[in-house]
This record gives sequence, structure tokens and C-alpha cells, in this order.
Amino acid sequence: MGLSWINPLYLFGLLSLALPVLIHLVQKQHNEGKRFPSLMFLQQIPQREKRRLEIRHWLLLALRCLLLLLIVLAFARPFFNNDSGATGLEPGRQDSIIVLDRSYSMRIADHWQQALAIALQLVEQKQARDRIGVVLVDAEAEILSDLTSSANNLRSVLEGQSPGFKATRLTGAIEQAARLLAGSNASSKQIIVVSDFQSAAATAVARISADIELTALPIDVTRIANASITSVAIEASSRAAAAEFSLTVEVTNRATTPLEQEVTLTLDGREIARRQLRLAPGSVLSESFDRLSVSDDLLRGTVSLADDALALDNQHYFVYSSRQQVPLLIVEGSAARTNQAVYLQNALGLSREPVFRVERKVLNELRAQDLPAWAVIILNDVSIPGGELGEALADFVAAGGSLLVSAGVAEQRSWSAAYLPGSPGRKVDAKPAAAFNISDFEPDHPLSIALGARNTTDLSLARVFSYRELQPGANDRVVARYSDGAVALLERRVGAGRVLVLTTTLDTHWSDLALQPVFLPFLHQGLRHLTTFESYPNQSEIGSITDVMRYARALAGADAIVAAAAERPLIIESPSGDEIRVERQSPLLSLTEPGFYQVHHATPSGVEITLAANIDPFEANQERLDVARFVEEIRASAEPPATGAALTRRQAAEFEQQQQLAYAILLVVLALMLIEALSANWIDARRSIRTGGTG
Amino acid sequence: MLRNKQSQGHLPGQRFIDPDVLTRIDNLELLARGVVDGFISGLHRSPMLGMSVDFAEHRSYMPGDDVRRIDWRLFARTDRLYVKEFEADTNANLHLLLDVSRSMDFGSGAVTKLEYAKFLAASLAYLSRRQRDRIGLVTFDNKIIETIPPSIRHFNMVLHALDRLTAGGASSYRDPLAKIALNLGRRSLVVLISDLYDTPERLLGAINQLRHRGNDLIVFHLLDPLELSLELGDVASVEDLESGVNLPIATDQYRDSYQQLIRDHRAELERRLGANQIDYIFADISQPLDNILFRYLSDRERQNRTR
Repeated sequence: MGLSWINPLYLFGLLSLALPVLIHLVQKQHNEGKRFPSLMFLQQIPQREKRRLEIRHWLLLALRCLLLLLIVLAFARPFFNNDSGATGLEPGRQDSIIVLDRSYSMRIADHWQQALAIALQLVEQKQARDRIGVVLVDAEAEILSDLTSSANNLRSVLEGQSPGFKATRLTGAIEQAARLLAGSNASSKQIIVVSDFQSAAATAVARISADIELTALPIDVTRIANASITSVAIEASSRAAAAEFSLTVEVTNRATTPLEQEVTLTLDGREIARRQLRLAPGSVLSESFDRLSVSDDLLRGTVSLADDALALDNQHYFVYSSRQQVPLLIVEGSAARTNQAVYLQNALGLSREPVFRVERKVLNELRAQDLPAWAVIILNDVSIPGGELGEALADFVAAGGSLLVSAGVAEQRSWSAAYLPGSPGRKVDAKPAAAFNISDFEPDHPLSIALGARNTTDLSLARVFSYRELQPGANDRVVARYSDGAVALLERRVGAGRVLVLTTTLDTHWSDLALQPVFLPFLHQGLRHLTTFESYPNQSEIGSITDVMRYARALAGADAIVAAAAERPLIIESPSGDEIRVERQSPLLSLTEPGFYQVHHATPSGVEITLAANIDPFEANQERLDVARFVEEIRASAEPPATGAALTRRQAAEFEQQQQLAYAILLVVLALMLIEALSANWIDARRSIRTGGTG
Repeated sequence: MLRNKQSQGHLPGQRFIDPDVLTRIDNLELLARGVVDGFISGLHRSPMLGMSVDFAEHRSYMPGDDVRRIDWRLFARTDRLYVKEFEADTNANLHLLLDVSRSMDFGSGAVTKLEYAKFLAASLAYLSRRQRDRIGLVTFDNKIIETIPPSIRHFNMVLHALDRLTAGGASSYRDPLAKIALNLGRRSLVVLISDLYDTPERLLGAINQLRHRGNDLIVFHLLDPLELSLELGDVASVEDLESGVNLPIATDQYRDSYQQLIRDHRAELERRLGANQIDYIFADISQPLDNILFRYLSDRERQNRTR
């Protein structure tokens, strides 16, 4: 049994013992300096009493030194170490961490049973003093059990486990195991990896301490005839009917023998197509499904192969939302010019990301309650409506809607400063045979950045013959000006929405902008900027963490922004039917199993959101690692063993209950401080009484 | 600023000037005048006869007498030569002997013993000047530092000498006083101002050298209150101002013995000096200077009356 220290560095504090000695010396020197006219009489007095004073001072000094010594010792936190040996290592004891692979490839045949049996056997074979911990590994490392000598506990936690749905990443798990062993004081430490050691399992060389022995225990892998869907690519159709899309499925034969397979496409539970495939050994085949139409808002699709030895990689899930097409309304006046919206509509129809679902309405037919159905409204040279519709427009913008206004010929009497930027004035015409150019883009504006230098240059080639004067307000941002300095593009942010005003027409009436090639990128980028478009992810991988409200925003636009502020949590139904609750303020969901995650009532309008989660297809790869090389690489890059201080820190956690010694020292320190204070006060008081008595 | 202070053991209502106040007056003459004027009035008289307006007596003309002093009127009446003698207060010699050894440069209050001695000497000089005495000054430590022979015109020289005085080396009385005694001419009033750190035997031996030739001797013994009480606080040792010797002490244990030794020393000095017709005046330098002067002048007056 020896004395050890948790914070041995504090022992340097013993140097502070010099302080009271120094103070004493300085004080003594100071006292010695007292000068007196003559020692004639003092020298006649016998010297015998001098020593008593010095002894008393020495006692005070000793008390103060002891006090400092004990404080330093208490801070160094001593404890009695029951371990034998100068190194603090416990001879004959072995600490082991079993790193157990639970990736989905362990579902193949009896892989998991083998691995579990090996782990249980290790537990059975351990000596009574030996300790074992368990780390489960797939894409993440999970500490199932810290180091323990209880075989029963280990058995019970191991037997309750089953393989998951994630891929294997051994590096992180081995390093986690090494960290668990870093604090161990056993004479022998080892990490035992039980896995099928797929080629994709080790992405980097794990760094462990050199005093840790690494042992790899591969299971007997059964080679299976397995085909897997390695990817599904979805592309919106390039045809005008935007509700169509196409699908490309990639199937890989991972077996060494040719395979006959059947690929089936199911949309919303209805089988759409079934194709026969003949797969050569190790080959990859792509199969396309074109012109798939969407009848509902959100489509759930499954691509599946016929069952083989590993069923998990035979399913691939995806979702497709027709609402990725941004609903856009073009509003025209009742006396619109011929072809007033033709250029606009054609340009919008050519946009791929986002795809706009365009509708046209005459202003008279527009009702206030219809407005939330659209994400973007283009007021194409109409008089701004007042009254109820005007208020509804203001609400639409404030709630996150986007408004593009072409201020042209139409007279503006109800231009509302509440949501529309600037104040319109008279029409300005260019001189005969001359034109204005749109130039002077604000370089820092997102639209200028999105358009790029080339497009803005091209835009300046467009000729504008007339424009409507617009006087910008204090909160408005001028995006571009005409060559005479007048405002061409003016933006205002209102609530969550944006309004962009172009002070000329979007047809050929006042300018030839619509005829310029740059009209398309100008319009598309302008609308992307207005809508802050977010695409809907069709599929996600298990293990990833997803922002659920991103889907809601992509589907419901402004509605989702309102929904994000609601107090009740999001309720999500997992593929296995479990209910998951997620706070709306941090709507992050970790995907753990393959299939469809259903988010109920994400928005006030009841938009249903579905997320498709798929396994990592590369985990089905049956290629094996060179295990010996894998172990050798880790051993070769092993770092020097952890220092004694690190061991002591670990021991500190274990021996926390033995801290009574430090506490006892602190109590003694308190008592001594009291005695010291009383003694010093007493001496001071005596001194002042003596001085005061003769003053 | 003058501060009123009732001093113990003296005339009730007598006003004295605190030494603290004196330190603020940088002109010694002004200081001396302030101390002396106001309460001096005919207390001091010279025992010598000399030139003055106050007629004392006639005596027969002796060869060698100044012819100018013959009373011709009396000669006309009596046909005998008489010379007039007047009661003079201007022809006494005042020798101020000032100890400027290092031990004098000590003071726990506003003034050191040396400063106090300066004030005292200046006041005595001023007093004597009023009486038109001749004033001389000798400063010494273990040797004679400076000598100003007595003269009626040396008052300012004495003040200047006092003004620039600084403490010297170790003190010794025998040799310097012996030399001074040799240089004392006519009968003088000799005032010794010192802290008298020596054994009474040796001190008396030294002072007695001045006693011959009919000199009147007054010894002012100056001590700081700290030298009387040894209230040094919590000091481990003390250092001798003159020798630099360090002596570890325990003041609280030493105090009583020390105070007794000082008392014995003073008593012994008073007894022995008194026995030799030497005036001994002890002065605590925390006490007002005019207090000391008052005592001194009272004593002198009493002695003159009895003389």
C-alpha cells in the first residue's frame, strides 16, 4: 500500500513554503534596523531573555509553514493506493474491450450468431479479476458496457443485442475502445475485434496506444449469391408536363456466379413495372423507368429485387413530390395586351430547378382566399389591387410569399407602401431612336451574384424604350438602375417574403428584354432569389441526420414557416411503426432503419411529409479485408503508452471514495488557520496595547 | 502658530511654545525672540560690574584705571580722584558648548535632540544679547568641531553656526572639554548642552575641568521620550547610532530595567553636579523649550539674589 497523488503537479506548490520564511526574514531585517542613540544602558542589562521571543516567532513560522504544506498536500489529493508495484500496474490482471460488429452485413446467414458466440466465449474464458468491456460498432461506436469483471452483466447485455442497418466503420470504434483502456491499470490490455471485416470497414488506420494488444477475430463468412440495388436516380421529366419523372436503377451482382433477377417498381403501393435482369458475376446493370406520372402530391416509390440471401439490400425507397414544382400565378389585367404573358410563360416553362407550375388569372377573377395556394405571384403590368385583395396580398408577402411586379402601362392608384417598394411616378420615354439600358447592378446583391458578370453584361444590351419612375423608400434596395440613373429593379423584404419590382414591361411593349437570350436566366434567377427555393430530398441514407422542416419548407413554402413556430412537437412515425417526437425548434431526425418515415401534421394545412431512408449499399459488398495487414498497420502506427499521469487520472475516478485523506487534511488546515489567526491577532493585540499604553 | 500648553510643575497660567511649533520657524533669531520675548523681564542680571547707565559706587582711582572714568565733579568737591563704577549687564561671557555627536541626531517626535539643542542655544544666545553679554559657541563630538570666541558682535555668527550644524561622530567629553577649558579666558557663564551618554564619574571629571577660574556652569541634559521609556515596539534588536553596534533585545523585558538605569543616571548626575556647584537641568525634548528656559532663568535669578 503506497501513497499516490491525483494532482501531483500541485506538489510544486511546496516551493511556496519559502514564502513565510522570506516574509519572516524581511520582517526581521526590518525590525533589526531600529536605531537608538546609545546602547550604554541596554548593554548593562543581562541578555538571557532574548531567546524566548525568537522561539515564539519560530513557532508561528512553523505553524504557517505547516499550514501551507498541508494546503499543498490537500490540493495534490493524496490517496492510499492498494495496487502493488512502483508502476501502479496490477500484475496478472487483464482488461479487454470487445469491439463487436453489428452492421447489417452481419445479418447474412449466421454471421451475427457467430460473432455473438465468440464474444460470449471471451466472457466465459476470462479470469475472475479480468475485466471486459463491449463496444458495438456499425457506422458509429456505442459503448455497450464499460470495463467490468461481472460476467453475468456482460452476458445479459450481449444477449439482448441484434445487428442494425448501418455500415461498418471500425476505425472510430477501435479508437473508442483504446480510450476506454487508457485509464486501466491492468498489466495486460487488449482490444478484440469481432467482425466480418468487409473491405469498406476500415477507412483509416486507427491510432491506439502501444501497450494495447489488438486481436482480430474474423467470423467464418458465408459467400452468398446476392444482388443489391446500389443506386436509384430520379430526374424530373424535361417535358412540359412537369408532373412526370424518370427513374434509373443500378443493380449490382455481388456474387461470383451469374444471377437471374427481377426488378419491380412500386409507386404508392401499386406495382408499375417489373423487369427481368440477367446479371453477370460482379457486374452492374442500369434499368430505366421513364415517363412516370404523378397523380398525388407526394409519391412513395419502392424499387425491389426478388429475395436472395440478403434481403435488406433488395429494397430501395424513394419519394417524389410534385410540389417541388413551385406554384406560380401570373396576374394580368382584364384588358391585357396580346401576348402580354407569352414570353413570361414560355420562359418559366423552361425552368428545371425549380420547376414552376404556372397558372394565369385575370385580376378580376382573383380571390383573396386563393392567394396562399401559390408561392410566387407575378403582377404582370396590372393596377395594384386595393381593398381586401390588396390586404390579402400584403399578408401573402408577410407570410413568406414572393411577389414580382412589372410596373408598366397600368395606372397605379392603390400602390401600397405597406408591402410594395418605392412610390411610382410618371412614365419616362427614351428619345426617338434611342433607348435606356439596364446597368449599374448592385454588385453585392444576391441576384447580381447569381446572374454573374456575363449575364449582367448581356442584360445591359437589352433596350428599354419606356419605364415607370419609381422613387425608392428608406427600406428599399435598388438592385439595378437604367443608364440615366433611374430605378430599374427595386427590392423590399416584408416579413418573411420578398417583393421585386421591375419598372418596365415583361413583354415587348416597353422594352426588348423578353427577346434577349439573357431573359431566361434573369427571370429564373430572379424567381429563385424571390422564393429561396429548397429542393425536396428524394432519398436519405441511414445514419444521416435530417432537418425535417426542410421537407416541410420545400413542400409547403410559407405555410411551413408558420408551422415552425408552433409549440407542439413534430410526431414522426418510423418504418417499424414507432412514434418519434421532435421539437420544431431543432427538427433534426436521425434515420436508423430503412423505409418511409412519415411526419404527420407538419404544417397547419396538414401537409404530410415522407422521408425515404435507405441502407448504405456498399455494406453488402462481400470483399474481405486482409485482416493480418489491418492489424499490423494499426500496431505499426501505435503511439507510446499513456503517461503515468493519465493512469493516475483514471485511477482518480475509481478511487474517488478514497478521498477522505484529502478531506481530513483540509479539516486540519481549517483548524490550523483558526489557530494561526488567533495567535497572530493575540500577538498584534499585545503589541498595540504596549504601544498604546505609553503613547 | 503658537499652541498653549500647561506645563506641569511650573507657574500656573504660564504659556509655553510646543517644540513642534518651533520646527516650523526656520529663522533661529526669530525663533529665539519668540521664545524669549514676552516673559523675560529683568530675570537675568549680570554679576559683573561694567559700563552702564546705572551708577553703582565710587572707588579710589588706581593707577591703570581709565582716566575717562574719573569723576571730575567729585574731584572738584573733595580734591581726590575717584572713578565711577556702574552696574553693568553687558560684559559677561556666555560660552555655549554644544554636543553634536551622532547620538544627538535622534528624535522620536518632531524634533531631534540636536534641533532642540539648537533652539535652546539660540534662545540662550538671544537672551544674553538682550543683556549685552558676549556670546561664544563651541561645538564638539569627540573633538572640537567649531569655535566662535565670545563677543558682543558674534550673536549672528553664533546663529549662523547653529543653523548649519549637523551631527558629527562618536561622543567623548574629556578631551574636547579640556581643550575648551584651556581657551576659556575670563570668568564666564558656561552652558553645556548634551545627552550626557557617559558614566557620571567620567562626565564629572570632564565637566569639572571647566569649573576652575570661577566659571559658572550649567548643564542641560537633553533626552528624547523614547530614551526615557524604551517604547520601541516590536523590534528584535537595536543599532547604536554612533558605533553601529547591533544589540538583540526584547524591549518588553528590558523596559523596566532600562528605565531604572536612566532614572539612576539622572539622579546620580544631579547629585554629583549639584555637589560641585554645577547647575543641572534635565530637558525632555517633547516639553516646550520656553519651559526649560523659564526654569533656567528662575534658577539663575534665585542664585543671583543669594549671591
